[in-house]
Amino acid sequence: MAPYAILLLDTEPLTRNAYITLAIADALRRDPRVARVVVADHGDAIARFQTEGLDTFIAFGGARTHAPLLTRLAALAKLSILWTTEDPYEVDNNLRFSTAFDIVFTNERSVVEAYGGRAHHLPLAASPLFQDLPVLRDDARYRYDLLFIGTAWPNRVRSLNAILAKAPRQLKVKLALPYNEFIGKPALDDPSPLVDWRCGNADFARFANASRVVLTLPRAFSNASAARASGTTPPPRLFETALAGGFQVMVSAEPETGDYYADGSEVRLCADDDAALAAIAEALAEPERRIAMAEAARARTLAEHLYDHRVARMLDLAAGTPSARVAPPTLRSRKTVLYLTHNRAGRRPGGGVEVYQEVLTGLAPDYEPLFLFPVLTGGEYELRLEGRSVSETFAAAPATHHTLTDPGIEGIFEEILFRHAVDLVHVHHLLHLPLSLPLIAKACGVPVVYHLHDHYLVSERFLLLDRNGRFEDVVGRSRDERDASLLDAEGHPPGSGARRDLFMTQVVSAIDAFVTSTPFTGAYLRGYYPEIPAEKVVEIEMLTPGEAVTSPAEQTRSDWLTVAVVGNFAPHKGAETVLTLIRLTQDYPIRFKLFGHVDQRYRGRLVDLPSERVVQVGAYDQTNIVALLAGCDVSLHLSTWPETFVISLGEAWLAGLVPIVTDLGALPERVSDDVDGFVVPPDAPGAVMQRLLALHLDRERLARMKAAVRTKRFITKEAHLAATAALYARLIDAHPCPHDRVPDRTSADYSLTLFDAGIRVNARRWTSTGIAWDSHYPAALVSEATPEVEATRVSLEDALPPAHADLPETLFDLDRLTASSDWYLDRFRLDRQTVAGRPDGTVVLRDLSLRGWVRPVSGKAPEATYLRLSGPETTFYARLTREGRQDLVRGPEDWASAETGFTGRVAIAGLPSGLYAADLVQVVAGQRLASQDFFRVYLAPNAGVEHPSPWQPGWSGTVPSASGPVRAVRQNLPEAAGSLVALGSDVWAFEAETDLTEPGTVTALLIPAAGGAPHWLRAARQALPDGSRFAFAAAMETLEPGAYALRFVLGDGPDACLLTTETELVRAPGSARARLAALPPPGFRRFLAKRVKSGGSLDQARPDAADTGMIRCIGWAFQPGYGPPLTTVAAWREGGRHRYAISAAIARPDAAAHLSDPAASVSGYDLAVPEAALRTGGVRLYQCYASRTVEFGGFQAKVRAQLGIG
Amino acid sequence: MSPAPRVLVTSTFRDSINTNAGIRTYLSEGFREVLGTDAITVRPLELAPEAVLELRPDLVIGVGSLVPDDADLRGLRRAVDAAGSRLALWLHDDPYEIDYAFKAGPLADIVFSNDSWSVPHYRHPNVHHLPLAGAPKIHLRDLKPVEERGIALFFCGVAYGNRIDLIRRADALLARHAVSILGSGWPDDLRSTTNRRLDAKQMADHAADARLTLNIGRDLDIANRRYGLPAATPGPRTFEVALSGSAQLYVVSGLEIGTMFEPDSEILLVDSVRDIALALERAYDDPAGILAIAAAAQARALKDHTYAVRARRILDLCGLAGPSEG
Repeated sequence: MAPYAILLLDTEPLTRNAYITLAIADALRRDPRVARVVVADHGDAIARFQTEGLDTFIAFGGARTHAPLLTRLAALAKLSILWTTEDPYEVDNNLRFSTAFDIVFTNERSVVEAYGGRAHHLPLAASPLFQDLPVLRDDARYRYDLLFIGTAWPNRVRSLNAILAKAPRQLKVKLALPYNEFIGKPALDDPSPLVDWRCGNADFARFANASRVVLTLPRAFSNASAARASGTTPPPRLFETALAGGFQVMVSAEPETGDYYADGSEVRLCADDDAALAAIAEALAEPERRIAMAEAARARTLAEHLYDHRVARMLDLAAGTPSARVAPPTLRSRKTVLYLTHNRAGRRPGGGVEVYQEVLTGLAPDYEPLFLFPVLTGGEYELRLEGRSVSETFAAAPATHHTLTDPGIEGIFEEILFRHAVDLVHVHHLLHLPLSLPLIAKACGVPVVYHLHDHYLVSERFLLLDRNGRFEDVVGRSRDERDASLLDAEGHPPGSGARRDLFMTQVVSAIDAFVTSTPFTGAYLRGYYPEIPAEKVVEIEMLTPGEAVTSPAEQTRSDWLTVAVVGNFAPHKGAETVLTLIRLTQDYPIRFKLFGHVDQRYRGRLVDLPSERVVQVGAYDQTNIVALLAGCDVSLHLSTWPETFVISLGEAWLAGLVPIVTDLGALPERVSDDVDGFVVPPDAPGAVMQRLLALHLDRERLARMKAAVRTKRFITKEAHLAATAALYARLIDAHPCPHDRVPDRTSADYSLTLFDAGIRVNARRWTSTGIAWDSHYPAALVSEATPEVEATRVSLEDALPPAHADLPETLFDLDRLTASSDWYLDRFRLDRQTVAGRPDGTVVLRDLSLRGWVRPVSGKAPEATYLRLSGPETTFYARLTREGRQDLVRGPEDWASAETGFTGRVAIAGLPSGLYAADLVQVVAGQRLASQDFFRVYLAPNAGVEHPSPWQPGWSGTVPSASGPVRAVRQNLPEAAGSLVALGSDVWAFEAETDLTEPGTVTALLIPAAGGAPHWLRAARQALPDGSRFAFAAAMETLEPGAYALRFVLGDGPDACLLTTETELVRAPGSARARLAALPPPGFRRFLAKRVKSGGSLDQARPDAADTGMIRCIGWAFQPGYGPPLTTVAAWREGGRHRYAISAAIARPDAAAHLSDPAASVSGYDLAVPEAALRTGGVRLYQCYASRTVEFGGFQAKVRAQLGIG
Repeated sequence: MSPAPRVLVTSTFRDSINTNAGIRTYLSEGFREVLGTDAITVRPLELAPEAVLELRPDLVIGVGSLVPDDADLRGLRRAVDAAGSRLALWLHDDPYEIDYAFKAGPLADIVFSNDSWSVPHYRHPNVHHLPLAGAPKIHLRDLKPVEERGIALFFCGVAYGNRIDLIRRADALLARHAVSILGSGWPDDLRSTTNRRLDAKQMADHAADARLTLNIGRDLDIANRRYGLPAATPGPRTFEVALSGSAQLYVVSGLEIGTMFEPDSEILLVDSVRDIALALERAYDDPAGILAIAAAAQARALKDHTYAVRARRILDLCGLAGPSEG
């Protein structure tokens, strides 16, 4: 195989011997068998190997550091060579990982046998590049008598003292004795020489050349390390000194030294210090002989000991030796694609990207999908890896906002790429991820596709909108303008934009293809980064889901023009323009239908618009949108930012609508003005009105354009996937990733960082103005903020130890003491999130931790502190760890305060779910002091998730017919006369059981009572001895207000079965924990109601900020003698019909205490009534008891009084 | 004769954090000396892209450091491309900042590094060694008779660890003489040092008034983790002090100094406290010999180590050699 095209890599990213790699490269370039040599870094080694057509890989150093990367490079090479330099110390690791190479060379002769015939001895050498200095023939020209450069090991210092003391004259010495804190400063008898300095190898050669004698002293190991192997082959200094014309006196040299230089004629090998002293004296006394020996040693070096000779031997042996590779990594026919993204459907609420990336799973099984995305809750940050048989969570950095690099995440990413055999990374977004990850993928040789869903590569403000919501064309903008924009809009310090740009320039260079849905986004990217070659931008039309509607569901009224506004009603979607337009067109029969979520800020402004002109359809199921749009004439797509595609434009076309779009981004590329739509300037409602009138007043034109629309065709899912697959295939073909299966090699240390890849940054974040110097690097990159230290886990026991169980217990009411001076919780965290105050029923999924203290009782510190958790089935005890709190000591007499701290984290896995009351119990002075009901939490360990899952809209599967029930076992939401009531801020922990044992995924469905697609989430499933348990913990924020029935679907596809529950749920629209109903609750007897004038308290009545037009009323009501109330309900008439607000039962222990009647403990209410009803009169408050309905007179008057309504 | 090439001198980072902007001025003076005043434009980085687009110089040279990530060198490169010019970088803090050398790759057509040992460690294909220099306008002083000089030994600089160690070893010796060891960060326990900063001109005045000036290298890495390279090339103070007319005691941590000044006749090399003591004795015993060294060093610096000489070297290596002297 010749000539060789070689990639040479120093395997240690941090090295003090980089010059040797340069010397080897220099020698390789002189070898006639070598065509090219590339010296690479870890960051670009694989890329350069592949793109520059190299065939040979030489790894110089060792096989352990970044072994997976080396193994892949070796697999890609026709010839792979490992030359180790750290044997014998690293021989075990080198043995383990060197099996990936064809041939191994070790610099250490004594370990050759250990490689079992796979390795050859190859000592280091000298290089004409750095050490080629002729011997000084005039003795007077030498500057120094004696040179010694070496670490100040004590034995060396002793030798130097001995030699210098006995020297025949005052020697002119040059000594460098670097030391460290363990060996200490060298104590020379003569303190005069300056010994604390260092020099590079070229300077070392100059010193050797300028010194009459170059001394080499051994390093004597202490007894403790006597067993440690030491090498026999001399270090490169031997050869370098000889080439530099230095005359060498070596003490206790290994016998092998004699194989390279002859003792007495080329060098002097001395047994001890006395012999060395004699040799030095002789050398100084007989300069001609000494110079002749130096000449001989140099000649020998030039003839035998240059890297040229080593390289020649290496290539000779490589050519004639069969490969020793063991099970080299191979390519797999089925490829794995890692989708790197900011979110995944089923997690945080998302949009089109989340939907689209799931579509790509249709490329399986040819391209097996894996998803890697961050999970953020509060300040917590984790990485989730999900795939067909993969579900892993990685604890990661505390926060990743604006992060350039995170060594921990980079190592995790590298491990995922290698261990999960990833062939291609498809980035959908880098939000909440370190921007370095594409660079890490490149270092690992994995091709990277970046999908241009927005403009994040160009700007953190990825919609390219300025503070005023207008398009900010950043291409060609100066640095100062960009800084001003970032400072203005985000508060980022000056220079932030330049820092991000600098880094992004490198990131985009690591990306192999940019997928753009239309030409605009790719062209804009290239406008910003002109260095991106045009061929890297690949246009694949985004999918337009749905099919063309042929028969409109709703006939168009010929005298009205119906305008659809599709998608989120938000500023960047042109909501302001639409609102102005609605007012502008008020004199015309033009009506607007708003499809999609309406941004909070617009709800109030829409309410005042006449309902015959403005219809809010609300959130819709994307699978139905084309059908929903039927009957409309025109659609508006008035985005103020340069959109990258706009799926809803295609959906409008499929529904036969004529779109009006803004002249920004992809929209004008897709719409032919005045043919299949209109293009208008952004923020130009007048222009839009002109187009609407043109269509409204010229129905023939409308018809003509609708006809043109009907001819539009869109890429099919099959074609889209085929184009994507073709891109994948092309990139994977150009950047194949052989995957290793040898456990000895794959169980490596995955620690590749951006720095290892050759890139250093000033700080972790691009918004940081600091520059981390070496003294703080890389620690400064881990995190600029100190992450909160989590408390040590403490175990749960089902009983106290006997010594404490037998003690008498006394109530100890912390509420009667003063928080912060008598006791305090310094930290209270539920599921790793800090909570303020003492929770009452908060759902906990993983763990709870607390740290606090209580002042000594009677001057005594507690012997032990327990957290006692009393739940639905039993009671558990966690003994908290005592924590020294010197900070609490108030004086010399207060020593006990230092011992009152407690801390601990309680993991709840395995506990029965349910509501738990937590007591803080201290053992003090022979008794237990119990602070009861310290807090309450709802433990839900069976939900199988670490964070609550949001409800996803638009279940697209077919709901099968019911095939059985499940039994609700436990859940945490309050009930209002048969229906659970949830607020947007709630987490719903639900657990049910069934007899079924069939395997399959479990999906929880909430089926809207008003019809429409169910909401869904994945539920956890656990096998029980005679059935299964289903559980979930759901965040209710994204669930649209309304009434729902809970169902479960077991399994997927045609075999799925539907399991019913009796659970009905109302997601309340506002803050009040009540449901609105047209029918009264069961047991409500209006006409037989007993009317009382008093018996309760209206604590608060005020407008519900979250539910416009409603008045939230909180209070309690109670009539003794009937037992506990079942339901509290407000009633009024609206439009001639009765309406009811049925409150959930609210605990009011204060009322029970006030009335001395435990039946009153659930007498509270929290409900909302329309302000309009209060104004017109007739709102009454009732309470249903088992045998009687009671009306509390004066309720409306009290509410009106609080509201100031006359 | 073809017109002189036009050169724009700028910095590699913002002036707001640039404590070495003086070097930009020195180099521009050097270029003016070689090419004439009209051929040279000087701009801080903030204003350089605009000037490049307007003036379309043949060469743009950025002087400084590649450490700050907020330097908009990408904008400068774009302007250079648009103007059809060439971009050279003269990086003068190697090896202490060589971890950032990777940034030069896509930016510079040609790179100059102040440190010879750093040069082979660059991956850039066109890198050359170019030591810093002295600026006669700022640093040159008339030679004063040694006997009239008020300072026996002068040093001014930041108290890096290696410098503190050396001064501590020599403190007892130095404290017996009229030394002026200034700078910042000197610990209180040293008798011979004073924490006082000097500007460039004051520094030159002090050196001109010193029989000997101590030359101790720097040992403080900002970004030198990857290779931990020791410095090889003497720092700019070597050339500046030579112009100021003081004999220098060069503390040897490398022998490249011998390629710049002739040891013993143009500079005194010291390897021990004993060498410093001997030099101090000589400064009083042999003032003529010391003055001869100072004079020789000054002549050598004027001949070989001014920014004009460096400018000429830059033009040579960029293929833009200006008219020769005389």
